[in-house]
Amino acid sequence: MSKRWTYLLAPVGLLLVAATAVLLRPGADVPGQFVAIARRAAVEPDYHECVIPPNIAPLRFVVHEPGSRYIARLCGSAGKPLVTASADGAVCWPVAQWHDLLQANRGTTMHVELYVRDQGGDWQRFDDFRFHVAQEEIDRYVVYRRIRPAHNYFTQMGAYQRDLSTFTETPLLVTDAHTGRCANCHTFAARQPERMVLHYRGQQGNGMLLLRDGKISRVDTRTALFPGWGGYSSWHPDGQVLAMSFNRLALFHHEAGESREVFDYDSDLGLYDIDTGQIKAPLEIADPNWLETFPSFSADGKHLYFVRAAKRWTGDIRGKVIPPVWKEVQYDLVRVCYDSQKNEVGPPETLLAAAQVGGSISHPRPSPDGRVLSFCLHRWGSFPPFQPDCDLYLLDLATRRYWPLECNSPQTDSYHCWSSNGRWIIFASKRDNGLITRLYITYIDQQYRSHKALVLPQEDPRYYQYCLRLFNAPELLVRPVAVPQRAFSGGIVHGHKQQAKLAGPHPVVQALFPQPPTNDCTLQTLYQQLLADPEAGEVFYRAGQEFHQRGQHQQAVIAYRRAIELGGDQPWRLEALERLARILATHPSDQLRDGRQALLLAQMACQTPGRVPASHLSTLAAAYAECRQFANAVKTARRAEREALAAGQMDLLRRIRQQLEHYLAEQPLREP
Amino acid sequence: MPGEQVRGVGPAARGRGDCAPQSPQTLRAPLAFTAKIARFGFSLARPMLLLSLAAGLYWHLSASVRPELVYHADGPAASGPAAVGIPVFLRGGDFRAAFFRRPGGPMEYCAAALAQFCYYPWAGSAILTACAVLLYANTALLLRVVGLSGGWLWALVPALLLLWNYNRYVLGIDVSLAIALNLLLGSAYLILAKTSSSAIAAPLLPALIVLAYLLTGPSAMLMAGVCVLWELLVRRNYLIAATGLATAIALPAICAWWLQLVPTWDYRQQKAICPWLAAPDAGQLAIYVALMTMVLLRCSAVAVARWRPSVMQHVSSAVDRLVGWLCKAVALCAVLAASVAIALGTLDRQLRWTLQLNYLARTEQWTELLDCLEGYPADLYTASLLCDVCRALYETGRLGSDLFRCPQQPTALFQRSQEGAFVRGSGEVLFLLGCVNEAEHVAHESLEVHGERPDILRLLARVHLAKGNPAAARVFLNVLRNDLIHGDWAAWYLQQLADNPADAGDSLVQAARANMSQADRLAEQATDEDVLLGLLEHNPANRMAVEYLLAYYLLTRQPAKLAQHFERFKSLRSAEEPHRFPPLLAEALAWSTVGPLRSRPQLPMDAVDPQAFRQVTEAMQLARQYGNNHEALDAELAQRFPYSFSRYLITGRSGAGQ
Repeated sequence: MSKRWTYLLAPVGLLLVAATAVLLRPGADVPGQFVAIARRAAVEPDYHECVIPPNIAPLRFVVHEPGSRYIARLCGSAGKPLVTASADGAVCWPVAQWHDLLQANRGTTMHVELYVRDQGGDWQRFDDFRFHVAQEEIDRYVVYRRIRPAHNYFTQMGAYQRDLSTFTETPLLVTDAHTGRCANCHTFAARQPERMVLHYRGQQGNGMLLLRDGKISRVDTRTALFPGWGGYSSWHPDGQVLAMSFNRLALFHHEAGESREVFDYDSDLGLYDIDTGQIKAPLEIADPNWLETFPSFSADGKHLYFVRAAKRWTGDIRGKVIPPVWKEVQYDLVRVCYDSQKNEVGPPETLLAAAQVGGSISHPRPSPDGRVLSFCLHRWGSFPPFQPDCDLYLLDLATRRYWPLECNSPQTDSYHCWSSNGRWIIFASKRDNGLITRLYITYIDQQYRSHKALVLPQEDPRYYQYCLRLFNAPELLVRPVAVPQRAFSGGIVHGHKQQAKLAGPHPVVQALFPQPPTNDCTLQTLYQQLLADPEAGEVFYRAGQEFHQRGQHQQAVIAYRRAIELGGDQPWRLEALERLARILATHPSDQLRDGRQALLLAQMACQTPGRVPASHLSTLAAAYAECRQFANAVKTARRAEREALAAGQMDLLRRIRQQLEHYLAEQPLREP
Repeated sequence: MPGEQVRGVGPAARGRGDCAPQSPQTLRAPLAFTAKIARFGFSLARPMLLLSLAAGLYWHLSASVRPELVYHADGPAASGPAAVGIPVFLRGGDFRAAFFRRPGGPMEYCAAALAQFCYYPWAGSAILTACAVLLYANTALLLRVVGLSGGWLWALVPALLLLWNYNRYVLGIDVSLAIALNLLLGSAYLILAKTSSSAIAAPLLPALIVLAYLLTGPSAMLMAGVCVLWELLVRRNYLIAATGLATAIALPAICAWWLQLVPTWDYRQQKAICPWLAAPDAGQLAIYVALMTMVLLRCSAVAVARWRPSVMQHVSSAVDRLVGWLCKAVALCAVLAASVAIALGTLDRQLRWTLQLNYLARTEQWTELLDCLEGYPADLYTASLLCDVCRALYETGRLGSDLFRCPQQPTALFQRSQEGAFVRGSGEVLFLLGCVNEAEHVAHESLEVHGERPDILRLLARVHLAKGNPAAARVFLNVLRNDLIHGDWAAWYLQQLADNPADAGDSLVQAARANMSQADRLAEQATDEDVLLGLLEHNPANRMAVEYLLAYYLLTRQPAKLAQHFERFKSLRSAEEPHRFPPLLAEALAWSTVGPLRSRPQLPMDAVDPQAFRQVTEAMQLARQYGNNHEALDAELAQRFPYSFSRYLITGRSGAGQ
């Protein structure tokens, strides 16, 4: 044999010897003699008393007890116990044997014996910890998003698919500077991977990736309905229609406490037909007076659940001034009937009012059996991840009784998803450290009680100790997404962009004209103009004037609001502000009146570079009076009086003087 | 067989006497030239020379380049076109796995680990010297294998280019190591191919290219290029050359598209598919080009010798005539001169100055930072540097006297929100002030933009401790524990947390906790002034906030407001401090009395400085005198009242005059 072959074969031989030595090493066994310690060992993650799915990956953990060797034995009522040993406290069950043992012990309780050899060489045995293996399996795959806890910049984030029975994780889409900054809100039809949407934002523009039977297309969801992009979405079980929200979000920061806050300036729902590419936005789910978000179809597809809150501010659609009432915005839980044949919805039905539950509701998710609905309850707004008091609740849809999940923690427990058999909920929680979100799985029993949640097991048991990425938006799947990562990123960069179209009149036009006007020439003209261009601010202003004159104040408010939103720097915008403020400050109906909003609008109307018109000051005075600030009202009314006198507006002067008497008597103004 | 015909072209083969090229005279001429040099008696001089060059390089690096400056220069610290900094490195399987999953990752991982040692000046210089030596040795080996005459001398070219890169603070340890490894693999292939049959060489080349690509990424194209050229021009084994070429072209595409080994689109576009983009720096690219050129020339010479033996004979005889001790001496002198010229002539002194300022700030050598600032060009001041300078002035008690020694801006004190991610010291300043949430915001943005840098992790740990969230702090400390340099500190800190969980945190954390306000407000609706006033409302004894508030009024040219809040500063002064107020404050107080009588603040008697009043009066006279001639006015003010508030107030300029 030549020298060359000797050199080649020598390392191979050494390798074989080493491998044989590893394979034939004596197996770990529990020590015969030990000192019993009457407490459970400190382990992380803590799986004690959890109910676990029979198909979950091995629950690996680390023992935080001082020692030089650690032995763990997993025992059940059936099957051969599993023994593993380590020198660093890591307990890593082998995957195949773990599954064999779990399958043999379905529906029973298993326990883990822990032995630690201390520095003196003596073995200690801590109290066992137990977990119960459920009969029902959890859907095998979960898709989630993993990002850093950044606030504004996102250089890299990804949507990943994890096999829950092993530790295999595959990226679906990892965004970067080229493909996009953000990937969010992935949704699947009926937990099947064939139909999926995934929203993205970034250098290639914003949009929605639609996966349909193995093919990916790009959809531009911007329409005249809303200049923003699609957000939260839910598939109808038949996979034909996608309900999605269009949110105009703003991120801002607190100077104390939890740092971040997300606020919805505006939101509406739409129904996107994936065949026609049309978005239908009926008034029932896209009312301009309401902020609707978080759509979720029931399992039978007959109801669409969502949450909504009254919109109590008016502002430039492009501006992002945070309204002062943002902390008072609380969402109700609402549902509408849905007719999949006609793609129509029924009138909204409030299931749980925010006032009733004392908080804001978000993320409604009906259970697969249709009996209960899970939701998040928090203090305000519609973005629970940054509110530590956010908890998960269940609502009995028959009795309307609601109760918190037993597995809630003092920290944020939010975004959740039911398994297809309705026995498991996977949710995002910050319970470990209040900052980094991790995925937890809880068992829901027949009585709809939840059990202690277990954190998503990882291959490296120390993973969570140093993991700075947070997991969120988990969605369970029965089968894996077969489309490779390159198809998603290629779809963003090269995919043909399909433009969504708005089907039917704009919701604001629907709100103004529930029926198309037939006999009224003026209204007919306005209607036609608004149908042609639902972003024509001036036409809305004229419509507002028309409705105002006719005493149709509800419609006038909607029209003025829209005009102000679209107005920009147009000269008529100040007039619209003043008129809207007047209605909101003086209307006899409590439903329509809103003093704080009126005051804000009137103040905006008075912010003119030159002399402030007397009429605007008069409205400001009325807004002050409505807010019970009578001293300011009197002061402003007197100023208005001077301005009217200077301008020779005698009729107005007379009216202002009459109003002044109201304010001096500490009475708000009411105008028919 | 073509491959057999050129067996023994290399020196190793010559030694065995089996050199049998198709035209012995042609190829023997350059070989004889090499042999002549070898016999010249330089056998001892050569290693001595190389050793001296290595020692000189080490000395130059540690004395002039100073790799420790680069260690601290991640992210926004360095101004200028070059991206200066070292990669993040953490111990642990997860971090390592991210590298080992992609082509070129192993080499980047090793380079990142080595780069951490730039923290220690001696170690950084040693590593960079070792890289240069490795590059030299492997280049020399390859040139020797391809039979280039004077290979040991030519091999200095890439090393000198590397020195040029070092002088521009492009350390590129990963690129150096990748090139060296590829040269080694290339040499190994050429040696094996010479002694093996084509049946072995044919699969060996693609296998080695795959190995090189997996280990070093796109740098493997260098190795592939060398081997393909050799097969094509020297051995004329077109099949093997085509196989190698196809492998080199197809491999990145396969890895990117089919195997999805490359993680992101950016990486796929720039690194895996386009190797020339892997080394975007011209200096690094020059090394590739130089190496390929040398190999190409040698291979072409062999090809020409085979094609037209007479031409090469003519060239060789001409070269032979030139060879001699004179030529040798001239070459050596040229190498030495080039080394010295590159070392001294290409050092980017301006960038070094910037890096040094950043280094002094990061190591909290505040007095030295202010000393080093003298004469620094005004156009190089960045937001980061201004923030550091203000901090240094505060730490040395000179904020009220030397604020306008550099070109100031109203936003110089700190940057809040996401902009803070690009202002290096901003997060720490905000934290020390007590704006803990703002510091958290800035630190989280920095983490996303710059990665898991030790100072960011440390700040985040402190922020969460100050906010009373030790569990979150522990996560950041656990990550920091995996840092090669700062791991011990993190482990110590974690131990402190475990031992004393109730009173967690060091003195900085305690100070921030005492200063942080509990009153909530939306950060976006608050100005810097609101923030500082909010802090003082919570803790009037927050000296940093007081000084920063007064500096804020100076920088925003609001002397009246400064006068309004002057009592805050007065109340903080201890009995030991000099009675006289800092000159800039006295000057601003004097300016606050200018204007309508009713808006003049009531100044305490001890705050009235007659000299400041005189200065203000003179400055006003000058302003009236020069009218709209701002340039002349500024020049006059800079001359008469340099670094004064009066000049900044009137002209908006500070620092040295034009």
